[in-house]
Amino acid sequence: MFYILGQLIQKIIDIIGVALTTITNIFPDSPFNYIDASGFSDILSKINYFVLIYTFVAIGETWLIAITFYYLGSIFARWIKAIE
Amino acid sequence: MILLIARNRKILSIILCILIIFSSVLINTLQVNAYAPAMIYYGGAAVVAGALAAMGYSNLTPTDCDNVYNALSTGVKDFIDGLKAIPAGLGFAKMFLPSNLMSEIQDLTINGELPIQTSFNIDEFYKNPEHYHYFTDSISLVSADLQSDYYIIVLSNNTWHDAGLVQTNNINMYFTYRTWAGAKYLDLHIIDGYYTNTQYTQSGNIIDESMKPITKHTINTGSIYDTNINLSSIPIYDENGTLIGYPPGSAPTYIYNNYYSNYPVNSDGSTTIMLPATSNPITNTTIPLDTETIPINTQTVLDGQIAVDTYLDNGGAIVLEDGTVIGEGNTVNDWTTTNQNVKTATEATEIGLIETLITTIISTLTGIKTLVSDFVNVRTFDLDFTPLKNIQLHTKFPFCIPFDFIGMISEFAVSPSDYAFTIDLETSYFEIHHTVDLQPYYIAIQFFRLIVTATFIFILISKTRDLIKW
Repeated sequence: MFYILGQLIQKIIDIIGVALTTITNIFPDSPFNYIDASGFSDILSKINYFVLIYTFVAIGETWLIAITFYYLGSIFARWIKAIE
Repeated sequence: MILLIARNRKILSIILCILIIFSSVLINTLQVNAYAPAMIYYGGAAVVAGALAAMGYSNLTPTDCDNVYNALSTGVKDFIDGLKAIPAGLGFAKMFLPSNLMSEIQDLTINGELPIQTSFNIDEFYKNPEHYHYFTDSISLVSADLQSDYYIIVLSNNTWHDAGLVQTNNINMYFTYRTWAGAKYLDLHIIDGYYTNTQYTQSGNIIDESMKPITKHTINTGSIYDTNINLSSIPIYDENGTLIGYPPGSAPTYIYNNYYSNYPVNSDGSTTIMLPATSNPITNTTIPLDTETIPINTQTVLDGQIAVDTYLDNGGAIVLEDGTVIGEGNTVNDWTTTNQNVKTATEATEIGLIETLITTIISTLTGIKTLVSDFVNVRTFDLDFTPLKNIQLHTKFPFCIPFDFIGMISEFAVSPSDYAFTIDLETSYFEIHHTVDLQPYYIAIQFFRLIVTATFIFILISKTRDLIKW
């Protein structure tokens, strides 16, 4: 029973996946992914010794997650009319 | 006072002479051009005298300027000496700087055997109406073969020029080489020849058949002018086998295209030609086969598809976990998933009818049991979300912007390495490889990193207030 149910749901997932993939392929590819800094690893490692860019990235990502949670929470609070 | 000076023409002319003399002394002292002060001096004096003569004053001659010059030369020179002393005065600033910055660089190495000391005298360009440059050099050479016969060729801007034969007996050698105007890089090479006899010619042509290059001495005269002479087609290679040029046609024809640094000389006077070492690749013509033989008449535990197939091919029979007997010549597929700990059989056994029936009933019940258990087994409920993962929405343009932005910033996020301030200089005569010790500045660097991080956090906080409007 569970096996049959699983197969059924899997079919639905496959159909949704194919549909979304077809829709996604309509959009153009990203034009911004041609950055290659592999030849500057030595310089970047020395720059990171003074300016902690890798720390900035980690802090920034955490900050973005916190902001996202804040916005989701505010939306939920407005929905239940806890805040205006 | 200015008006008084302007109205008094004699004072004005004297001041003009002083200015001309002062500038000439200044230029002469700073050694910009040995003849410029004379030109300025006499030219300026002539201009002044001519101007004064035109104005009706003929009593101020260059001789008067000489007198003024002699009177003021001492004071002006003292002034110039004072100007020169200014850079030396900056030495007091060294007292306020850390000592490690001002310590002498100890990592200095001297390269090359010769010349350690040499002197150059380059005659003034304009003295030679044909625009030739005479480079005279006086160096000390010690011949490795104690024969003291040198043939000189000069490499200038990657072309060779013949400078002729010079004989000396391990004493200071003086030679003159003339290069054309425009020689850019003059690199002097002296090939020390090894002689087996004393017959030679001094015409600049071939000297002796047995002359072999042994050592090469390089003198780097630096960049001067360009050259355009190429006289020969005999290639010369360095110790690495790299072609470095063609000596002139009058050089000894027995300069071999080999290494000529530390050139070995055998006891019989012959030399060994050292060709670049080559290595023959080693090829394996026989590839060892990984074989395994399994005796048929033994009972062992087989594990693995290859072992099972090998046993079956060798005439054995195996029994699976579920009791299935697989005879020789057959194969077992999907071994790793279903069949484990198979045991071999010495021979295919004959099973009776009842046993066959019982075995069949057992296998059927087992199948029913499996079917029922699978029906209610939650573990069979398995979903695969791979189709959703393959959507790759973050690679498409409108939705890729935040991901690409983060990726762009992440390109700069590299694991930091300890920074080392190194000074590396390599010249023909010396090398410096020095690493400045940054340990005294470690705390300052750490504090700088803290300030930078705190600044970044402050910027994020200020942006947060704008976003959440708090």
